[in-house]
Amino acid sequence: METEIPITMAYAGQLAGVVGASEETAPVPLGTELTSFLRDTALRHGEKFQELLFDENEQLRRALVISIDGKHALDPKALSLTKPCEIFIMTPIAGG
Amino acid sequence: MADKSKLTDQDRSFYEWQLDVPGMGDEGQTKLRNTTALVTRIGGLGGPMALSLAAAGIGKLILVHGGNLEPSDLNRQVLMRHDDLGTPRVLSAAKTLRALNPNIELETIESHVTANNVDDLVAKADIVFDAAPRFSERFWLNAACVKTGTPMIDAAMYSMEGQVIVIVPGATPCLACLYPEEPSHWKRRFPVLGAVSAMIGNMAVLEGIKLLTGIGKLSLGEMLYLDTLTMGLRKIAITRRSNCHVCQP
Ligand SMILES: [Zn+2]
Repeated sequence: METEIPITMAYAGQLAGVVGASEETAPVPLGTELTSFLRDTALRHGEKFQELLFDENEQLRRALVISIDGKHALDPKALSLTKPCEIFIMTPIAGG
Repeated sequence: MADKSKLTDQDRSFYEWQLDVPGMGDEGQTKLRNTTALVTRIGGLGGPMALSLAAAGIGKLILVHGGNLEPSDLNRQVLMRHDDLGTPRVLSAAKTLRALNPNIELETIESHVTANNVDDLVAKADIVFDAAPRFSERFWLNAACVKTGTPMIDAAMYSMEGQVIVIVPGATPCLACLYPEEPSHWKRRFPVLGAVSAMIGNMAVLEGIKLLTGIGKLSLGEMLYLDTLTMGLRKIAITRRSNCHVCQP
């Protein structure tokens, strides 16, 4: 049987607005690549969410701030989910 | 010429309520008075920044902002006055600041930060408070600050959330470590509530005052992220990019 681990997604402003919640937790197969998990998450949440996370070439946007358990992930593409954690995602913001 | 290393009786009468803040005292207040701070731009974030810095007795404020005051600015720009609609924002701000604290020095620059003027502007300052709404301006400021070793407090907000990053060249990652490129899909227009931008602007000032005076624990290498809908504060440890084109050799 495939082992699953609980992953909590926490969303900053714009993403939380699209999802309708600032947090959600889902079981994810151990070892899932972060990008693939985010792609599945984006599919679930619709076009606007996908656009905020992925560019026209379906690559994860480089200016997203993604942190795992409070630590900024420099290269999210290289990461896999190997233990329960909280993934916080922020779209870039500026000014005011 | 006055001895700038000592507070005058007038200084004491102005700042007596904050001289008692643990760690501030004469020494901290003198450090503030001997500091030149550059604030750009003077909007929902930068206005409250300039206001709090002036009230705290910063020695000199350089206010950088191009453009005139419009009615839609007034929901968040606490230094502006209705009577000044149609006039340069930076002059309106300076007028308010002068009325609040005539003892600080003010310089106004009626232009935004550009690739051409950024080096000259940063060279005049001991610390930079960045409230620019365009990534290009933030990146120019970041690069100029890293080059000159000038600390920069970067603030940004969107709707009910905001962030503050303390950048101390050599000691912390820089803005380009966090954002390696300009966000292609980012839009200039964003929702703003004045209370939120004032709160984030003041968080930035607090970090700046802590940096200048040595009070408290500075958030070095962290992004402070505040969600005012829940009043949840996150601290995100920023990682330095080994190939950062700004802060790495
Ligand atoms: Zn850097």
